[in-house]
Amino acid sequence: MRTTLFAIICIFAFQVNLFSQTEADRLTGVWEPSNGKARVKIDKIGTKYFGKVVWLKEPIDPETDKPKVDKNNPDKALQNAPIKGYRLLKDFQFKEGNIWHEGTIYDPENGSTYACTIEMVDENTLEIRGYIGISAFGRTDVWKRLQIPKRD
Amino acid sequence: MEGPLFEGPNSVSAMHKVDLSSIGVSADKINHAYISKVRVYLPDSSNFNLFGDFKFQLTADEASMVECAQLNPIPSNVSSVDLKTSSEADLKDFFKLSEFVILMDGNLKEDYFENVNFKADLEFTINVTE
Repeated sequence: MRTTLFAIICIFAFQVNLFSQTEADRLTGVWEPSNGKARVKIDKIGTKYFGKVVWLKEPIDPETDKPKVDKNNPDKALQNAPIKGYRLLKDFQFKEGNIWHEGTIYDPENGSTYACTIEMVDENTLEIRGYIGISAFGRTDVWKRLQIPKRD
Repeated sequence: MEGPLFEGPNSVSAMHKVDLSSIGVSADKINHAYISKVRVYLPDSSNFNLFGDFKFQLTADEASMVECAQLNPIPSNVSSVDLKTSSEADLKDFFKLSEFVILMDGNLKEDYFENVNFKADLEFTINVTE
């Protein structure tokens, strides 16, 4: 076995998806899990959907008196990454109808990642089912779309 | 990042086209690849005081997203930073593709109304079976 180094230089550009709204893009937006502890913004990268934490009800860890970090991540090198901004939902693909699948959901409270499917019950309600192995052994949570009050 | 930018999580991305021929590596011989160095620069000689943290991920339509480096907090009054990299995050699947996306997330400490430009040097270590 040999080891090779490979270097690249990146010039970053603002992440923007110039895509026309499709049936699958109904998933994008800001959503709130049933426990109300966080808000998760789902957006599209390439052809897949990802959801990152954009708001925390309790952003400060009472043990450290600092913003919460991903202290339960099994990879020690990543344990100091903040929860705010963390992508909990990864790699979802639109299946058909109201289903997005082939994704994962991460639980920062125990550092575990679960297989996950998302079903849109109506335009403002998601059923998020995380599971291990087969979908029958899992837990479903209901997320609500964040409603922005309309101005007169 | 294109302003105006708002306090909290923001993202920038760069597409990388994979070409391993320059280093004489065949993608099917890679058994592990990880990111061994990430250095981020602000080319316009300003500093990182606006940002609380950075995180790097690779993603592609044909491969699952992998987090591979982070830095929290960002030191004050510096114009380049080295992120903490993960050797456990296996990136070999990305080198079997024609291209992948490098995604950098950063939490902005406050609203900012200008554009922010970034450059980064990335170094990957690739273990190859002979």
